Amino acid sequence: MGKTNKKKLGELLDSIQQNSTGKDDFKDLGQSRGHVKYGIRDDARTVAKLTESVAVHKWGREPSYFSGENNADGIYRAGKRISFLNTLIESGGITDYELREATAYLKTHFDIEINGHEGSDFKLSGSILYSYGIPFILTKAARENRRPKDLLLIGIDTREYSTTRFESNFDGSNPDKHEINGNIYYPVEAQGMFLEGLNTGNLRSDVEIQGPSIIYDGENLSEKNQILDTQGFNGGKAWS
Amino acid sequence: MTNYEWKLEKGKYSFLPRIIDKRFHTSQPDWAKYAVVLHELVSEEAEYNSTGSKIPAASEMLDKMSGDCQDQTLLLTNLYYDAGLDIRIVSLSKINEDKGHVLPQVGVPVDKNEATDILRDTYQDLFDTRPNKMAWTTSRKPYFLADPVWSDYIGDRSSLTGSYIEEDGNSWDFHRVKFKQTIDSPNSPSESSNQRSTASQSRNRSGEKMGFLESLDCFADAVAESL
Repeated sequence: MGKTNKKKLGELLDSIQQNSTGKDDFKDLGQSRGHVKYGIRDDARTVAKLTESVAVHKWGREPSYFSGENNADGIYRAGKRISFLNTLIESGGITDYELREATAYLKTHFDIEINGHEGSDFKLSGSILYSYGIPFILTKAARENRRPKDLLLIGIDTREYSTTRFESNFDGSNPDKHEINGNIYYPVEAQGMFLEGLNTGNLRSDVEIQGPSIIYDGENLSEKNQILDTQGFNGGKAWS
Repeated sequence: MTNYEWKLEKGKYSFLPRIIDKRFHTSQPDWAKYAVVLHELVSEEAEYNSTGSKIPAASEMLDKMSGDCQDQTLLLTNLYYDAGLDIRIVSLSKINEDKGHVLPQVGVPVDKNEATDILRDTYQDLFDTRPNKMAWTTSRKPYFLADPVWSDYIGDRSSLTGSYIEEDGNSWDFHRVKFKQTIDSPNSPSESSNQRSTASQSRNRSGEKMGFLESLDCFADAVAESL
């Protein structure tokens, strides 16, 4: 093959990378409140990145799952079951199709076993947590304090936030913003901040966890910013 | 059985025709241009690297451009799909060894003999080379080998023969096919949409739908090649 055509292939590859919604788009997430670019597949990628970075990399051991019970003491339970974060809080929650897309991605990339909870159990009621400045979303099952048998889906919402959504799903005191260590973070800013951390490999050190300590295997991981907390929900009392 | 179709990021690269058209010019039909260019892209730009059972999505592969046969096959399949080409993924066993291989085949919307001429002319136009032997399988339509790992060009089976392909001097066949998956792109080209639309309209089967996903333990396609 001539150099010209070899060069064209290289240019084509660059163009494909640039045109696809790849990693560069993460940089934009925190800049445009209420508007993000992602479709479901990108959300799945985000979830996967989060899972890889936090659940696996940070914990450094087999993934854990959050029981969904009253966990005011913040204990995460180790096990082969996995906590995952899912998806979207668009009105009505995630569709079955979107769920399949997201879970298929996770299965593909992380050999993760995901079982059960088809249909309405996956409809998100939209409980949002902030830890590391990230909005997390609980499944309906978790919100209703029912323990998911095999899976807890939580998620990063990369879709448009609404005040209504926040009022109805946050504690109501501060529906449109969240305060962390005296700093005010808006949802998408917080999310972008986290994603920036994923991109750079460094989570923001100025985002600290408040509320109950997170204990894992007797070790307080909250102090090390190693674990996802549940602060910010129901006055810091997680899942109760 | 691995379900490759679920792993496709369908529609993510729907811009492919536009950016390929911008850079590669030939009088041959679009399907041939996309098939040739994308196969060249993956086979030339992706490095082989044994990565185990985890298969990255096309977007991840595009970031690193390194992976094994499954990784490269999924990438090329995804690109083909979004370029509007029909694909068949074949998993087979290595002769005398307990190893497997996965490769894609690209479906063409014209008769196999016409397709070989078009593909050769496309290679001539775009890459100044003219392939010799071209191999395909046929069932409802011709599917040409498009292995990004072992095929130097679409239809090339030379490196596969003796390892994953058996031949008896007159014909060839895959060695112990484990499964195949046929994935039709919703934007697959019709013969009439191509410059070389001929009287073979009756052979145009691009409109046929075989089913979204097909998986069989084995299959008995007719196999052939053009010299």
